[in-house]
Amino acid sequence: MTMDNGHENGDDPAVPEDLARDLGFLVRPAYTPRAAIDDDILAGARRRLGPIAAGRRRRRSIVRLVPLAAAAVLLIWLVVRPGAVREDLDGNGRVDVLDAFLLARALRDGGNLEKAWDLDHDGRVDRHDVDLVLERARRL
Amino acid sequence: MACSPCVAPEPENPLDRDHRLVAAVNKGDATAFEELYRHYRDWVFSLAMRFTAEASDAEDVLQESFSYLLSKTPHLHLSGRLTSLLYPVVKHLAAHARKKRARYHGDRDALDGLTAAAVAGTPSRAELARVLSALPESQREVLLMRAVDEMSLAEIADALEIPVGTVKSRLHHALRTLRADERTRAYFDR
Amino acid sequence: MKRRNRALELAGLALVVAMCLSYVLFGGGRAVLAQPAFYAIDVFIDSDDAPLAAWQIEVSDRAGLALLTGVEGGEHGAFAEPAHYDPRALKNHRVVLLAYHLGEDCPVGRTRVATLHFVQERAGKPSFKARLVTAAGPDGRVLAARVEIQP
Repeated sequence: MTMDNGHENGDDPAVPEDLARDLGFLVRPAYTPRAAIDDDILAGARRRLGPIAAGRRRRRSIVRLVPLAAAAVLLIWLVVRPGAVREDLDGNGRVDVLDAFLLARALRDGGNLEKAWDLDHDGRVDRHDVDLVLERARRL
Repeated sequence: MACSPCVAPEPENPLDRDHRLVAAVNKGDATAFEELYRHYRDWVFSLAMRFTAEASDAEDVLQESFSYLLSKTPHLHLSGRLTSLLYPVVKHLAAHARKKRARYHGDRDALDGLTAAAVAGTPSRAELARVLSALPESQREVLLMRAVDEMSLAEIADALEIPVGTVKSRLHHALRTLRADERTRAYFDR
Repeated sequence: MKRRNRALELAGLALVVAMCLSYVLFGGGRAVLAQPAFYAIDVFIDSDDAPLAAWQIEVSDRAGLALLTGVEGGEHGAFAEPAHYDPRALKNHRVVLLAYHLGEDCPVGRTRVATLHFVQERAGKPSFKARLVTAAGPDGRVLAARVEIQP
Protein backbone atom coordinates (compact mmCIF):
# COMPACT_ATOMS: atom_id res chain seq x y z
CA MET A 1 0.00 0.00 0.00
CA THR A 2 1.53 3.35 -0.97
CA MET A 3 2.00 6.21 1.50
CA ASP A 4 1.38 9.85 0.75
CA ASN A 5 2.11 12.53 3.32
CA GLY A 6 1.49 10.07 6.10
CA HIS A 7 -1.87 8.81 4.75
CA GLU A 8 -2.28 5.36 3.29
CA ASN A 9 -4.28 5.66 0.07
CA GLY A 10 -6.31 2.61 0.97
CA ASP A 11 -7.50 4.08 4.30
CA ASP A 12 -10.29 6.44 5.20
CA PRO A 13 -8.48 9.84 5.30
CA ALA A 14 -8.87 11.27 8.79
CA VAL A 15 -10.31 14.75 9.27
CA PRO A 16 -8.87 16.54 12.33
CA GLU A 17 -11.52 17.17 14.96
CA ASP A 18 -11.10 20.93 15.20
CA LEU A 19 -11.12 21.24 11.41
CA ALA A 20 -14.44 19.37 11.36
CA ARG A 21 -15.72 21.61 14.14
CA ASP A 22 -14.76 24.82 12.34
CA LEU A 23 -16.12 23.57 9.03
CA GLY A 24 -19.36 22.91 10.84
CA PHE A 25 -19.41 26.47 12.16
CA LEU A 26 -18.81 27.80 8.66
CA VAL A 27 -21.70 26.05 6.99
CA ARG A 28 -24.16 26.02 9.86
CA PRO A 29 -27.05 28.41 9.16
CA ALA A 30 -27.76 31.24 11.57
CA TYR A 31 -31.40 30.26 12.00
CA THR A 32 -33.71 27.28 12.07
CA PRO A 33 -36.86 26.74 10.06
CA ARG A 34 -40.08 28.32 11.29
CA ALA A 35 -42.36 26.23 13.48
CA ALA A 36 -45.12 26.64 10.89
CA ILE A 37 -42.99 24.60 8.47
CA ASP A 38 -42.85 21.75 10.98
CA ASP A 39 -46.62 21.88 11.40
CA ASP A 40 -47.19 21.79 7.64
CA ILE A 41 -44.86 18.87 7.07
CA LEU A 42 -46.23 16.80 9.93
CA ALA A 43 -49.83 17.54 8.95
CA GLY A 44 -48.98 16.39 5.42
CA ALA A 45 -47.51 13.22 6.86
CA ARG A 46 -50.68 12.45 8.82
CA ARG A 47 -52.78 12.99 5.69
CA ARG A 48 -50.57 10.69 3.66
CA LEU A 49 -50.02 7.98 6.24
CA GLY A 50 -53.53 7.83 7.73
CA PRO A 51 -55.03 6.00 4.73
CA ILE A 52 -52.07 3.61 4.62
CA ALA A 53 -52.62 2.60 8.24
CA ALA A 54 -56.38 2.31 7.67
CA GLY A 55 -55.80 0.16 4.62
CA ARG A 56 -53.58 -2.20 6.58
CA ARG A 57 -56.27 -2.60 9.24
CA ARG A 58 -58.83 -3.43 6.56
CA ARG A 59 -56.51 -5.93 4.93
CA ARG A 60 -55.91 -7.70 8.20
CA SER A 61 -59.63 -8.14 8.69
CA ILE A 62 -60.12 -9.94 5.35
CA VAL A 63 -56.95 -12.02 5.33
CA ARG A 64 -58.92 -15.23 5.88
CA LEU A 65 -60.46 -14.83 2.42
CA VAL A 66 -57.10 -14.71 0.65
CA PRO A 67 -56.51 -18.45 0.19
CA LEU A 68 -60.01 -18.89 -1.23
CA ALA A 69 -59.64 -15.92 -3.54
CA ALA A 70 -56.25 -17.12 -4.71
CA ALA A 71 -57.65 -20.55 -5.53
CA ALA A 72 -60.49 -18.96 -7.51
CA VAL A 73 -58.09 -16.71 -9.44
CA LEU A 74 -55.82 -19.63 -10.24
CA LEU A 75 -58.74 -21.67 -11.49
CA ILE A 76 -59.95 -18.86 -13.70
CA TRP A 77 -56.45 -18.23 -15.00
CA LEU A 78 -55.90 -21.87 -15.85
CA VAL A 79 -59.28 -22.51 -17.39
CA VAL A 80 -60.18 -19.27 -19.05
CA ARG A 81 -56.93 -17.60 -20.02
CA PRO A 82 -54.04 -19.98 -20.30
CA GLY A 83 -51.82 -17.61 -22.29
CA ALA A 84 -52.62 -14.45 -20.39
CA VAL A 85 -49.08 -13.25 -19.71
CA ARG A 86 -47.17 -14.51 -22.73
CA GLU A 87 -46.99 -11.02 -24.20
CA ASP A 88 -45.72 -9.48 -20.93
CA LEU A 89 -42.12 -9.74 -22.09
CA ASP A 90 -40.63 -7.48 -19.47
CA GLY A 91 -42.53 -9.21 -16.68
CA ASN A 92 -43.94 -6.05 -15.13
CA GLY A 93 -47.40 -7.58 -14.85
CA ARG A 94 -48.88 -5.66 -17.75
CA VAL A 95 -48.80 -5.94 -21.52
CA ASP A 96 -48.00 -2.50 -22.88
CA VAL A 97 -45.93 -0.61 -25.42
CA LEU A 98 -42.75 -1.34 -23.49
CA ASP A 99 -43.09 -5.04 -24.26
CA ALA A 100 -43.43 -4.31 -27.99
CA PHE A 101 -40.56 -1.84 -27.79
CA LEU A 102 -38.34 -4.37 -26.05
CA LEU A 103 -38.95 -6.97 -28.75
CA ALA A 104 -38.59 -4.45 -31.59
CA ARG A 105 -35.25 -3.25 -30.19
CA ALA A 106 -34.03 -6.82 -29.81
CA LEU A 107 -34.90 -7.49 -33.45
CA ARG A 108 -33.20 -4.28 -34.53
CA ASP A 109 -30.04 -5.02 -32.56
CA GLY A 110 -29.85 -8.63 -33.72
CA GLY A 111 -29.05 -9.94 -30.25
CA ASN A 112 -30.23 -13.10 -28.52
CA LEU A 113 -33.91 -13.64 -29.12
CA GLU A 114 -35.66 -15.73 -26.51
CA LYS A 115 -37.74 -18.65 -27.72
CA ALA A 116 -40.59 -17.52 -25.49
CA TRP A 117 -40.86 -14.44 -27.71
CA ASP A 118 -42.10 -16.58 -30.61
CA LEU A 119 -45.65 -15.65 -29.69
CA ASP A 120 -47.31 -16.94 -32.88
CA HIS A 121 -45.40 -20.24 -32.67
CA ASP A 122 -44.16 -20.13 -36.26
CA GLY A 123 -40.64 -21.07 -35.28
CA ARG A 124 -39.29 -17.51 -35.70
CA VAL A 125 -39.12 -14.37 -33.58
CA ASP A 126 -39.97 -11.55 -35.96
CA ARG A 127 -42.11 -8.55 -36.71
CA HIS A 128 -45.30 -10.64 -36.48
CA ASP A 129 -44.60 -11.30 -32.83
CA VAL A 130 -44.20 -7.57 -32.23
CA ASP A 131 -47.57 -7.03 -33.87
CA LEU A 132 -49.14 -9.57 -31.52
CA VAL A 133 -47.83 -7.66 -28.54
CA LEU A 134 -49.09 -4.37 -29.97
CA GLU A 135 -52.51 -5.87 -30.59
CA ARG A 136 -52.70 -7.08 -27.02
CA ALA A 137 -51.38 -3.85 -25.55
CA ARG A 138 -53.82 -1.57 -27.36
CA ARG A 139 -56.85 -3.69 -26.54
CA LEU A 140 -59.68 -1.83 -24.82
CA MET B 1 -38.23 -2.44 40.35
CA ALA B 2 -34.96 -4.02 41.48
CA CYS B 3 -32.52 -5.27 38.89
CA SER B 4 -29.35 -7.30 39.30
CA PRO B 5 -27.08 -6.39 37.60
CA CYS B 6 -28.53 -3.12 36.22
CA VAL B 7 -27.16 -2.30 32.80
CA ALA B 8 -28.16 0.77 30.78
CA PRO B 9 -29.43 -0.22 27.34
CA GLU B 10 -27.02 0.47 24.48
CA PRO B 11 -27.98 3.47 22.37
CA GLU B 12 -29.57 2.38 19.10
CA ASN B 13 -27.32 2.38 16.06
CA PRO B 14 -28.45 5.21 13.69
CA LEU B 15 -28.69 2.80 10.75
CA ASP B 16 -30.92 0.43 12.73
CA ARG B 17 -32.98 3.36 13.98
CA ASP B 18 -33.54 4.67 10.45
CA HIS B 19 -34.56 1.25 9.15
CA ARG B 20 -36.91 0.68 12.09
CA LEU B 21 -38.57 4.05 11.65
CA VAL B 22 -38.90 3.72 7.87
CA ALA B 23 -40.48 0.30 8.28
CA ALA B 24 -43.00 1.85 10.69
CA VAL B 25 -43.65 4.79 8.35
CA ASN B 26 -44.35 2.37 5.51
CA LYS B 27 -47.07 0.88 7.70
CA GLY B 28 -48.66 4.30 8.12
CA ASP B 29 -47.14 5.25 11.49
CA ALA B 30 -47.19 9.05 11.59
CA THR B 31 -45.41 9.11 14.96
CA ALA B 32 -42.46 7.27 13.44
CA PHE B 33 -42.35 9.81 10.63
CA GLU B 34 -42.29 12.63 13.17
CA GLU B 35 -39.38 10.97 14.95
CA LEU B 36 -37.49 10.68 11.65
CA TYR B 37 -38.31 14.28 10.84
CA ARG B 38 -37.07 15.55 14.23
CA HIS B 39 -33.79 13.66 13.72
CA TYR B 40 -33.11 15.00 10.27
CA ARG B 41 -34.86 18.33 10.03
CA ASP B 42 -31.91 20.49 11.07
CA TRP B 43 -29.49 18.57 8.90
CA VAL B 44 -31.71 18.84 5.82
CA PHE B 45 -32.25 22.56 6.45
CA SER B 46 -28.55 23.14 7.00
CA LEU B 47 -27.73 21.29 3.80
CA ALA B 48 -30.39 23.19 1.89
CA MET B 49 -28.95 26.48 3.18
CA ARG B 50 -25.50 25.33 2.08
CA PHE B 51 -26.80 24.97 -1.47
CA THR B 52 -29.23 27.87 -1.67
CA ALA B 53 -28.01 30.51 0.84
CA GLU B 54 -31.62 31.70 1.12
CA ALA B 55 -33.71 30.80 4.17
CA SER B 56 -37.03 30.84 2.31
CA ASP B 57 -35.62 28.60 -0.42
CA ALA B 58 -34.14 26.30 2.19
CA GLU B 59 -37.51 26.04 3.93
CA ASP B 60 -39.14 25.14 0.61
CA VAL B 61 -36.47 22.52 0.00
CA LEU B 62 -37.03 21.15 3.49
CA GLN B 63 -40.75 20.74 2.81
CA GLU B 64 -40.23 19.27 -0.65
CA SER B 65 -37.61 16.82 0.60
CA PHE B 66 -39.90 15.35 3.20
CA SER B 67 -42.82 15.45 0.77
CA TYR B 68 -40.66 13.40 -1.54
CA LEU B 69 -40.04 10.86 1.23
CA LEU B 70 -43.76 10.66 1.93
CA SER B 71 -44.54 10.19 -1.75
CA LYS B 72 -42.51 6.97 -1.66
CA THR B 73 -44.55 5.41 1.13
CA PRO B 74 -45.57 2.65 1.62
CA HIS B 75 -42.65 1.51 -0.56
CA LEU B 76 -39.92 3.72 0.85
CA HIS B 77 -36.73 1.67 0.82
CA LEU B 78 -33.45 2.44 2.54
CA SER B 79 -30.23 0.77 1.52
CA GLY B 80 -28.23 2.72 4.11
CA ARG B 81 -28.91 5.64 6.40
CA LEU B 82 -31.50 8.21 5.50
CA THR B 83 -28.72 10.75 4.83
CA SER B 84 -27.63 8.81 1.74
CA LEU B 85 -31.12 8.94 0.33
CA LEU B 86 -31.85 12.54 1.30
CA TYR B 87 -28.57 14.12 0.21
CA PRO B 88 -29.13 13.91 -3.57
CA VAL B 89 -32.80 14.84 -3.11
CA VAL B 90 -31.93 18.00 -1.18
CA LYS B 91 -29.15 18.87 -3.62
CA HIS B 92 -31.42 18.46 -6.63
CA LEU B 93 -34.29 20.43 -5.08
CA ALA B 94 -31.93 23.19 -3.99
CA ALA B 95 -30.47 23.47 -7.49
CA HIS B 96 -34.00 23.78 -8.83
CA ALA B 97 -34.79 26.47 -6.24
CA ARG B 98 -31.72 28.42 -7.22
CA LYS B 99 -32.54 28.24 -10.91
CA LYS B 100 -36.01 29.53 -10.15
CA ARG B 101 -34.54 32.40 -8.25
CA ALA B 102 -32.20 32.97 -11.25
CA ARG B 103 -29.22 33.71 -9.07
CA TYR B 104 -27.19 30.61 -9.69
CA HIS B 105 -23.52 31.37 -9.89
CA GLY B 106 -22.21 28.09 -8.52
CA ASP B 107 -21.78 26.80 -4.99
CA ARG B 108 -19.19 29.42 -4.34
CA ASP B 109 -21.76 32.17 -3.81
CA ALA B 110 -23.89 30.01 -1.55
CA LEU B 111 -20.90 29.17 0.59
CA ASP B 112 -19.80 32.80 0.76
CA GLY B 113 -23.24 33.79 1.96
CA LEU B 114 -23.12 31.27 4.75
CA THR B 115 -19.59 31.82 5.89
CA ALA B 116 -19.82 35.62 6.01
CA ALA B 117 -21.88 35.45 9.19
CA ALA B 118 -19.89 32.59 10.67
CA VAL B 119 -16.45 34.13 10.37
CA ALA B 120 -17.03 37.54 11.95
CA GLY B 121 -14.37 38.00 14.64
CA THR B 122 -12.75 34.64 13.99
CA PRO B 123 -9.62 35.05 11.83
CA SER B 124 -8.85 31.34 11.64
CA ARG B 125 -12.30 30.55 10.39
CA ALA B 126 -12.11 33.40 7.91
CA GLU B 127 -8.91 31.90 6.52
CA LEU B 128 -10.48 28.44 6.47
CA ALA B 129 -13.44 29.85 4.55
CA ARG B 130 -11.12 31.33 1.92
CA VAL B 131 -9.17 28.11 1.49
CA LEU B 132 -12.40 26.11 1.39
CA SER B 133 -13.87 28.37 -1.29
CA ALA B 134 -10.80 27.81 -3.44
CA LEU B 135 -11.17 24.02 -3.41
CA PRO B 136 -12.71 22.38 -6.48
CA GLU B 137 -16.43 21.94 -5.86
CA SER B 138 -16.23 18.13 -6.01
CA GLN B 139 -13.56 18.04 -3.29
CA ARG B 140 -15.27 20.64 -1.11
CA GLU B 141 -18.54 18.74 -1.29
CA VAL B 142 -16.99 15.44 -0.19
CA LEU B 143 -15.04 17.15 2.60
CA LEU B 144 -18.19 18.74 4.00
CA MET B 145 -20.17 15.52 3.71
CA ARG B 146 -17.45 13.69 5.66
CA ALA B 147 -16.53 16.30 8.24
CA VAL B 148 -19.82 18.14 8.82
CA ASP B 149 -22.54 15.67 7.79
CA GLU B 150 -20.55 12.77 9.32
CA MET B 151 -21.38 10.47 6.46
CA SER B 152 -19.26 7.39 5.94
CA LEU B 153 -17.31 6.95 2.70
CA ALA B 154 -19.82 4.34 1.55
CA GLU B 155 -22.75 6.67 2.33
CA ILE B 156 -21.08 9.50 0.42
CA ALA B 157 -20.44 7.20 -2.53
CA ASP B 158 -24.06 6.08 -2.45
CA ALA B 159 -25.42 9.63 -2.22
CA LEU B 160 -23.24 10.98 -5.04
CA GLU B 161 -23.41 7.79 -7.11
CA ILE B 162 -19.64 7.55 -7.46
CA PRO B 163 -17.21 4.78 -6.48
CA VAL B 164 -15.84 4.70 -2.94
CA GLY B 165 -12.34 5.03 -4.38
CA THR B 166 -13.32 8.35 -5.97
CA VAL B 167 -14.68 9.57 -2.63
CA LYS B 168 -11.43 8.66 -0.89
CA SER B 169 -9.39 10.33 -3.60
CA ARG B 170 -11.38 13.60 -3.48
CA LEU B 171 -11.25 13.68 0.31
CA HIS B 172 -7.57 12.94 0.30
CA HIS B 173 -6.84 15.76 -2.18
CA ALA B 174 -8.98 18.23 -0.22
CA LEU B 175 -7.17 17.44 3.02
CA ARG B 176 -3.81 17.59 1.30
CA THR B 177 -4.62 21.08 -0.02
CA LEU B 178 -5.64 22.26 3.43
CA ARG B 179 -2.55 20.74 4.99
CA ALA B 180 -0.26 22.33 2.40
CA ASP B 181 -1.81 25.78 2.77
CA GLU B 182 -0.08 27.82 5.49
CA ARG B 183 -3.41 29.36 6.50
CA THR B 184 -4.86 25.98 7.48
CA ARG B 185 -1.77 23.88 8.17
CA ALA B 186 -2.22 24.38 11.90
CA TYR B 187 -5.23 22.07 11.96
CA PHE B 188 -2.92 19.19 11.06
CA ASP B 189 -0.05 20.11 13.35
CA ARG B 190 -2.08 19.95 16.56
CA MET C 1 -118.25 0.26 -24.69
CA LYS C 2 -117.12 2.29 -21.67
CA ARG C 3 -114.83 -0.57 -20.63
CA ARG C 4 -113.25 -0.68 -24.10
CA ASN C 5 -112.68 3.07 -24.15
CA ARG C 6 -111.13 2.87 -20.72
CA ALA C 7 -108.80 0.10 -21.89
CA LEU C 8 -107.76 2.15 -24.91
CA GLU C 9 -107.04 5.15 -22.71
CA LEU C 10 -104.88 3.07 -20.39
CA ALA C 11 -103.03 1.51 -23.31
CA GLY C 12 -102.34 4.94 -24.76
CA LEU C 13 -101.06 6.19 -21.43
CA ALA C 14 -98.82 3.14 -21.04
CA LEU C 15 -97.41 3.71 -24.51
CA VAL C 16 -96.55 7.33 -23.73
CA VAL C 17 -94.93 6.34 -20.45
CA ALA C 18 -92.94 3.60 -22.17
CA MET C 19 -91.73 6.03 -24.84
CA CYS C 20 -90.65 8.54 -22.21
CA LEU C 21 -88.87 5.88 -20.21
CA SER C 22 -87.09 4.50 -23.22
CA TYR C 23 -85.99 7.96 -24.23
CA VAL C 24 -84.55 8.61 -20.81
CA LEU C 25 -82.97 5.19 -20.43
CA PHE C 26 -81.65 4.60 -23.89
CA GLY C 27 -81.44 8.07 -25.33
CA GLY C 28 -79.26 9.26 -22.44
CA GLY C 29 -81.67 11.94 -21.60
CA ARG C 30 -79.88 14.15 -24.10
CA ALA C 31 -81.23 15.74 -27.19
CA VAL C 32 -79.83 14.62 -30.50
CA LEU C 33 -77.97 17.43 -32.21
CA ALA C 34 -79.44 18.74 -35.42
CA GLN C 35 -75.95 18.65 -36.90
CA PRO C 36 -73.26 16.37 -35.42
CA ALA C 37 -70.27 18.33 -34.17
CA PHE C 38 -66.78 17.34 -35.33
CA TYR C 39 -63.68 18.38 -33.49
CA ALA C 40 -60.12 17.41 -32.74
CA ILE C 41 -58.06 17.31 -29.60
CA ASP C 42 -54.28 17.37 -29.50
CA VAL C 43 -52.40 15.02 -27.23
CA PHE C 44 -49.06 16.15 -25.81
CA ILE C 45 -46.47 14.26 -23.85
CA ASP C 46 -43.84 16.15 -21.89
CA SER C 47 -40.73 14.13 -21.09
CA ASP C 48 -38.80 17.13 -19.67
CA ASP C 49 -35.25 16.87 -21.02
CA ALA C 50 -35.28 13.14 -21.69
CA PRO C 51 -35.75 11.77 -25.23
CA LEU C 52 -39.10 10.07 -25.67
CA ALA C 53 -38.96 6.80 -27.60
CA ALA C 54 -42.10 4.93 -26.54
CA TRP C 55 -45.38 5.90 -24.95
CA GLN C 56 -48.84 4.59 -24.17
CA ILE C 57 -51.84 6.63 -23.09
CA GLU C 58 -55.53 6.20 -22.57
CA VAL C 59 -57.99 8.94 -23.54
CA SER C 60 -61.64 8.82 -22.66
CA ASP C 61 -64.73 11.00 -22.56
CA ARG C 62 -66.25 10.55 -19.15
CA ALA C 63 -69.50 12.14 -20.29
CA GLY C 64 -69.90 9.42 -22.92
CA LEU C 65 -70.72 11.89 -25.68
CA ALA C 66 -67.69 12.05 -27.97
CA LEU C 67 -67.10 9.19 -30.38
CA LEU C 68 -63.65 8.63 -31.85
CA THR C 69 -63.53 8.85 -35.61
CA GLY C 70 -59.83 8.97 -36.38
CA VAL C 71 -56.27 9.22 -35.11
CA GLU C 72 -53.65 11.48 -36.63
CA GLY C 73 -49.87 11.37 -36.18
CA GLY C 74 -47.80 13.77 -34.11
CA GLU C 75 -45.59 16.75 -34.88
CA HIS C 76 -42.19 15.08 -34.55
CA GLY C 77 -40.94 12.74 -37.26
CA ALA C 78 -40.54 9.95 -34.71
CA PHE C 79 -44.30 9.86 -34.18
CA ALA C 80 -45.55 11.23 -37.46
CA GLU C 81 -47.33 7.98 -38.25
CA PRO C 82 -50.64 7.58 -36.39
CA ALA C 83 -50.25 5.71 -33.13
CA HIS C 84 -51.48 2.14 -32.76
CA TYR C 85 -54.98 1.79 -31.37
CA ASP C 86 -57.75 -0.80 -31.24
CA PRO C 87 -60.11 -0.30 -34.20
CA ARG C 88 -62.96 -1.14 -31.84
CA ALA C 89 -62.24 2.22 -30.25
CA LEU C 90 -63.75 3.89 -33.29
CA LYS C 91 -67.21 5.03 -32.40
CA ASN C 92 -66.34 4.42 -28.77
CA HIS C 93 -65.73 6.82 -25.91
CA ARG C 94 -62.32 5.44 -24.94
CA VAL C 95 -59.11 4.68 -26.77
CA VAL C 96 -55.70 3.27 -25.90
CA LEU C 97 -52.93 4.74 -28.03
CA LEU C 98 -49.36 3.59 -28.18
CA ALA C 99 -46.30 4.14 -30.31
CA TYR C 100 -42.58 3.62 -30.29
CA HIS C 101 -39.64 4.83 -32.35
CA LEU C 102 -36.48 2.83 -32.98
CA GLY C 103 -34.41 5.66 -34.49
CA GLU C 104 -32.07 7.99 -32.65
CA ASP C 105 -33.98 11.19 -33.34
CA CYS C 106 -36.48 11.18 -30.51
CA PRO C 107 -38.38 14.26 -29.37
CA VAL C 108 -37.38 15.97 -26.14
CA GLY C 109 -39.61 18.12 -23.95
CA ARG C 110 -43.26 18.75 -24.77
CA THR C 111 -44.35 17.26 -28.08
CA ARG C 112 -47.66 16.62 -29.73
CA VAL C 113 -47.80 12.88 -30.25
CA ALA C 114 -51.28 12.55 -31.73
CA THR C 115 -54.44 14.36 -32.69
CA LEU C 116 -57.72 12.60 -32.04
CA HIS C 117 -60.80 13.31 -34.10
CA PHE C 118 -64.21 13.00 -32.54
CA VAL C 119 -67.82 13.39 -33.50
CA GLN C 120 -70.53 14.35 -31.06
CA GLU C 121 -74.11 13.52 -31.91
CA ARG C 122 -75.86 14.37 -28.66
CA ALA C 123 -76.06 17.61 -26.75
CA GLY C 124 -73.89 18.12 -23.74
CA LYS C 125 -70.29 18.82 -22.86
CA PRO C 126 -67.72 16.05 -23.27
CA SER C 127 -65.35 15.57 -20.36
CA PHE C 128 -62.04 14.34 -21.71
CA LYS C 129 -59.48 12.68 -19.54
CA ALA C 130 -56.03 11.47 -20.54
CA ARG C 131 -53.92 9.05 -18.56
CA LEU C 132 -50.30 8.22 -19.22
CA VAL C 133 -49.92 4.46 -18.95
CA THR C 134 -46.17 4.46 -19.53
CA ALA C 135 -43.34 6.22 -21.37
CA ALA C 136 -39.75 5.24 -22.04
CA GLY C 137 -36.51 6.50 -23.48
CA PRO C 138 -34.50 4.91 -26.29
CA ASP C 139 -32.96 2.40 -23.90
CA GLY C 140 -36.35 1.18 -22.75
CA ARG C 141 -36.10 2.76 -19.30
CA VAL C 142 -39.33 4.20 -17.97
CA LEU C 143 -39.50 8.00 -17.95
CA ALA C 144 -41.34 10.32 -15.59
CA ALA C 145 -43.43 12.05 -18.26
CA ARG C 146 -46.79 13.83 -18.31
CA VAL C 147 -49.67 13.74 -20.76
CA GLU C 148 -51.84 16.71 -21.59
CA ILE C 149 -54.75 17.13 -23.97
CA GLN C 150 -55.86 20.32 -25.66
CA PRO C 151 -59.11 20.79 -27.47
